[in-house]
Amino acid sequence: MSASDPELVRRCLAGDEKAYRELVARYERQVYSVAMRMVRVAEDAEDLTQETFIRMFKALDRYDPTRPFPAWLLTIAARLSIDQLRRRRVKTVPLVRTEPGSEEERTVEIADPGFGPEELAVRQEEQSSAEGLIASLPEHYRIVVVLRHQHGLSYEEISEALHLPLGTVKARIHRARALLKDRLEQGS
Amino acid sequence: MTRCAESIRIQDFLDGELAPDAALAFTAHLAGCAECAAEMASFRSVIASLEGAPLPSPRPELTARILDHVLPSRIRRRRLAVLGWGYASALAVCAGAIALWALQPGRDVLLETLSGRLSHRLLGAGLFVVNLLGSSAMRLAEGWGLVHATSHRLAPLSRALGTVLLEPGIMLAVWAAAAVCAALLWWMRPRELTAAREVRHVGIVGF
Repeated sequence: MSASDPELVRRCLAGDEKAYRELVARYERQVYSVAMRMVRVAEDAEDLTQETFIRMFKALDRYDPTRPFPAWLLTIAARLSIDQLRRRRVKTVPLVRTEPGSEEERTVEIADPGFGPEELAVRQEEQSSAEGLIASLPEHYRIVVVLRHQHGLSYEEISEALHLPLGTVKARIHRARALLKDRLEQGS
Repeated sequence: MTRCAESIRIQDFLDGELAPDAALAFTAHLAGCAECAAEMASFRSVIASLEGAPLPSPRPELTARILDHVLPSRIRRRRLAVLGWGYASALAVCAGAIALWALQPGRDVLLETLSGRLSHRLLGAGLFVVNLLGSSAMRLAEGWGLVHATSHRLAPLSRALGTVLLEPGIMLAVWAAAAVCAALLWWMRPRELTAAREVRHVGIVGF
């Protein structure tokens, strides 16, 4: 019989490396899944998964065994993923530029290459699959939907994990599902 | 087309967030409202798609990579390796700097000046140490004389103590006290591995 999460945590705190391995094996895919759904680049998701486990083991003595362990761990993963997305946003190129020696702002024109017929077909297929549907959501909807419907966190746990009021979490999940329903209906 | 006003309750109903009375009322409404029934079926389908979507799997190498960064034994090993490489690099930099310096023109003059200053300083330091040792020896001799005088004065007392201790009854009592102390220490020895640190210092105090 496999050990319970609090038991594994206790053994980790006592320095048992087998327990470390078991915790990683048990939750690696879930953590990676949250990261991958959010950042959508495999290398970045792997880095985030590694960072999540490093932070989790460092904070293990602060874990409250009365709380569900996966919710605690996925909280770390979700926050790191959101931070990563924020950093990415900071790196984006501004669309308004000022010429040197001039105070006049100029909007940068970016050509829209559009999708070719093949790309369009792949994209439409992606959009109709569940994974594509999740990926099509804006980030702030995506994280709550992933935590709720892929990892089974309650509204309260999501609210705590993302530092959001309970009402906001609920509203975001409702809007996200309504968006997905419309997209599914349009697709069919 | 206007939507049914009750349709705003669909998601709360699906989440089980409606109060029992409201849930019963909404179930009754669903039986008679085709629009809400269809919308609820769509939401159910969305939720089923989301919950049925497979979790993406990481590459198998990720596990080893994570363990490398979290297992205490591997962290220690990596720190030692970093320390080792740090020392090796520092040594290499020093050796390089010395070699570079040795290749500079006019190094002999600089070396002679440096060695002259160094030998002067060493000589000064040596003289200081000899002076210090001599002075300390004299102080010790004085101190030893003091100890000798004190022991001479205390000699009658020690002789009396020796005589007392040679009495069979007193000697037996002293040995018995020593045995009791040893037994006490034995009883206070660390019994459990986890308590070892706590008990050890108590044993030392007892001793």
